[in-house]
Amino acid sequence: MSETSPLISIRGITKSFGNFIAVDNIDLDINEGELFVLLGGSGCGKTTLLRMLAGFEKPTSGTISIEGSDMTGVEPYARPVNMMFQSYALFPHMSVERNVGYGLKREGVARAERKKRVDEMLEMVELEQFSKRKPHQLSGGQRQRVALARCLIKRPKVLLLDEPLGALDKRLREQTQFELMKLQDRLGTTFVVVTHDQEEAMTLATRIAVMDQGKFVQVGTPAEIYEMPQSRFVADFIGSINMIDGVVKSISGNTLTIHAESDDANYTVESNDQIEIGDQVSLAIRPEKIHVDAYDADNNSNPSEQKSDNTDKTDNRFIGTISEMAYLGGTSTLRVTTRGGRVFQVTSTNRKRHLTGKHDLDWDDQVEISFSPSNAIVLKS
Amino acid sequence: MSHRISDWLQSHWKEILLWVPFAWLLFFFLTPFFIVIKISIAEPLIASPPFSALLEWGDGLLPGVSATIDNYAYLWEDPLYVKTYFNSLQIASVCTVFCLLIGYPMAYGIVRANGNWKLILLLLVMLPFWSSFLLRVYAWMGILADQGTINDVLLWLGLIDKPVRLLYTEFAVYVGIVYTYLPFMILPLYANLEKLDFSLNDAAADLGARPTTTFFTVTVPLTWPGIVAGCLLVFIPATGEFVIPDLLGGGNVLMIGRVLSSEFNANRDWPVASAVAVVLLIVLVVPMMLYHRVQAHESNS
Amino acid sequence: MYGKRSKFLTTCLLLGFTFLYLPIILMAIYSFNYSRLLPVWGGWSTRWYKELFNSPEVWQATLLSLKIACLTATIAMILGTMAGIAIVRVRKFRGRTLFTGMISAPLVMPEVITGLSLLLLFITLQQTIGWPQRRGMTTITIAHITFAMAFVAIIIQSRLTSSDRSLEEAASDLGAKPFRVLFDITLPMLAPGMIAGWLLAFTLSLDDLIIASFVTGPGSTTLPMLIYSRIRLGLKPDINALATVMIGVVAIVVLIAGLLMYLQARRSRAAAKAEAMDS
Ligand SMILES: Nc1ncnc2c1ncn2[C@@H]1O[C@H](COP(=O)(O)OP(=O)(O)O)[C@@H](O)[C@H]1O
Ligand SMILES: [Mg+2]
Repeated sequence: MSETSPLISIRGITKSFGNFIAVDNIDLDINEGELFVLLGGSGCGKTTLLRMLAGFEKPTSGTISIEGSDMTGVEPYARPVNMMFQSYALFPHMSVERNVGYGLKREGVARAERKKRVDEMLEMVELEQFSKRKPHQLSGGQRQRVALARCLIKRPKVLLLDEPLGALDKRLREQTQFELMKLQDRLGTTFVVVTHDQEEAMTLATRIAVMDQGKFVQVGTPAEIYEMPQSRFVADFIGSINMIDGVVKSISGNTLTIHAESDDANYTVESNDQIEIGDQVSLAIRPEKIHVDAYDADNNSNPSEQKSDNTDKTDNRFIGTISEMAYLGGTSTLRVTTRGGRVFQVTSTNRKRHLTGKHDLDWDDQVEISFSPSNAIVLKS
Repeated sequence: MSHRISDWLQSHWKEILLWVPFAWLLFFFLTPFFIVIKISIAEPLIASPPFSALLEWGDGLLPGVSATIDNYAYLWEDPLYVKTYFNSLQIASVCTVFCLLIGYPMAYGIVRANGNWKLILLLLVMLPFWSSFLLRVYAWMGILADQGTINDVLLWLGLIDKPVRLLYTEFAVYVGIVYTYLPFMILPLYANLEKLDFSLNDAAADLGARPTTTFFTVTVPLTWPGIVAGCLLVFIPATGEFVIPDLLGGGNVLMIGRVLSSEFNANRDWPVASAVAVVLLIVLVVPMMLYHRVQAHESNS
Repeated sequence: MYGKRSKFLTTCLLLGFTFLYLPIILMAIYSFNYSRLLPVWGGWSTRWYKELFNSPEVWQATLLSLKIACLTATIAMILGTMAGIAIVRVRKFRGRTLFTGMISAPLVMPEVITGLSLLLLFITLQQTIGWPQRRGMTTITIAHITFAMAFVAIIIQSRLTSSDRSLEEAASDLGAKPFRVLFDITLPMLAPGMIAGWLLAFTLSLDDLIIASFVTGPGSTTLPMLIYSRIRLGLKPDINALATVMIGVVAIVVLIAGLLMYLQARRSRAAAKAEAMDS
């Protein structure tokens, strides 16, 4: 992917606090212009990694280089990166204008030039009329924009953002996500964003690193992470997914048949991985990749055996009952219990308008669910 | 030139920040204690004119040569001193208990008061704290005097027919110490109670605890650091108190601060006065270390 | 104040505050007594106030006390702030335990010990290096600084540990070197604590009798020393007047400070409300 040398390159970086290892031997390259997202649960070490990039924490081992120059021993004030803090860390005793201009003043930029650039910057984040206010006189969203402006005015090579939208309410957060992306696109600055919100990560990122207990479990584009999770952790962490544990019974070409003991059913799935007969694997299928149709028991006297026998090799088809159902407007989430006793979570799109409040699918209805082998993922356990 | 100074500051400011106050304290706080210790083991003989005494002591550079434990032996042998130490500790402990009994409900009441009341009540506690200690003691002289307010009221009510002696008794000293040290109890308790999450009380009540049970099983354990800090802030200085026993106790109440002061000023016996101070310090060193630990613990968490 | 549930608390507060304030109020009332024999009421009069304001001794002592208190407060604020920052920010250094011990000891050290030991130090110094030649204002100020700076340091230390470290990190991230961060961010952040420390040091110094009487010399009588020498022998109506004036001044200052705090709290509450309506 990267013919040119990466902007940031992290090699074997580890940070421990006493006996506790917060960041565990991480390697990573980030290219110029990327919007790279570090995603993971609370306490997995995202902030610590970011703080090492900014220079606030000294790595226990490993190196970080930015534009090819080693950052070891370079103090935070001398690094070509800037950080936007989770709390924004706006200086409470300075006006918006002085907050934004602070970095330029430290660089020794002359007063007139500084004023010009501060005004430009404030215009860009639409805060011109607030320039004389103190941070405590601003709303949460405005504070966030001041914090962003204060970093960006330094024209950093890399902008580090720790939970940049964490303090905003849901609606403002969604709106701000797009503003952040537009801004990044316009300036071409490399962003490294930390978040625990997987939706936010999917929306923002050009590339995501999923972190768990100080390690990267997968690095990839949002689509790769979602469609091709490489571990149960990632599959579970991003969106919801149905997991079926079983043993590989037969292989023909890239098509596997997996037998699950718990519901005594066979599943077919396509995979290019190196898998052998007898391997313990998990099959993962996303709820929206499962088809659901009403099933008429009268027209089909003995459908389950017939159909599953017929279509076993190409399709996974099961009869079940809707045991739970949640109407979400655009979609409905169903839980379908198959005759074998397995529960599938299924998302179905509500294409028709239901004026009577009665849906074509309802609790306790018999349904037929199916998914194509190419839509399922095989995870080696 | 100025450039070099700023460079030097840039790289050494932390050392300056540390060493200026550190050096001050070493010189003006720690050194004096060693001098006190040295004088306390000096010959009592050389004490008669205090100035020349020190010069002589300065000549014998090795204190071992002229050192003596006579002063300490003197303290030990004279029952007056032993009795005075115990009396001071007893008065200080009783006063501490009373301060706690009065101060805790008050601190609790202030914390639970709403909005503006809280601020007002807190200011009312601080006000005596900011005003003269000496004058607050003096105020009690007017109340406790033979013709003072209390006696006036009691006489008027017909409960007594001649004034009761209140001023210049041990009772007056107790009242005076509790009165002047009460804010020192309330303020740390307040600081601690203020941090307390009172939904814990509701949770305890919800789980079936009666208010008194909640208080002793939830509130008190959680405010333990405040209780200890408050008690020590009263107990330690009260033990060495000088003004209150002097003004309210007259000559009738034995407290170590007064004895020290009279040894020093009236008897001009500096070695003995120093020995009295050293022993007082030894008596108080355990509570002082305890206070230091509570303080350090509080500022870490 | 709390609704009917806590009659007990209200009673405790009422009794407690009566205990704290009744003596002061009675003292103030008696300051307007005409009679020289204090407990005997001789009718209202401001005679003692006149006597008080015409006494040069009182003026002299007050002036000396104020001078010492101002000097003490200023130097103790500087040294205490340095010490507070050093304790929190310089994590490891030799003698740290000793240093923190010396910071917290003066808070509880009996004043007779501090006074005695400092006097012995000054005498030793005088005999060895000839300084201080005579004891008085300088020695009292030094003694006061020594114990008052500990109080300032404790205030600064607690403000600093509870403060948001990310402000200083942000400044350093934006290119400020550590020394710059200290002046741009840390000190402004500590300003309220420094003011509180100054005021505390000022009152501690103004209030001190024992340490000052140990380390003073001939001719240097501070206000507490003057008061003490008069009341040792009994009640003095002019001291009642003096007490009333002093406590009145403190009350007014505290009241103004309280009012300012209240107004500021209301203003920031209003700002918070406005912001809530904004978004
Ligand atoms: N200065 C520190 N000292 C000790 N432990 C720390 C420190 N900073 C972070 N940690 C620990 O490291 C882990 C990772 O923290 P952090 O990077 O903040 O996680 P997050 O992914 O939520 O941002 C946490 O368990 C935290 O307790
Ligand atoms: Mg974090």
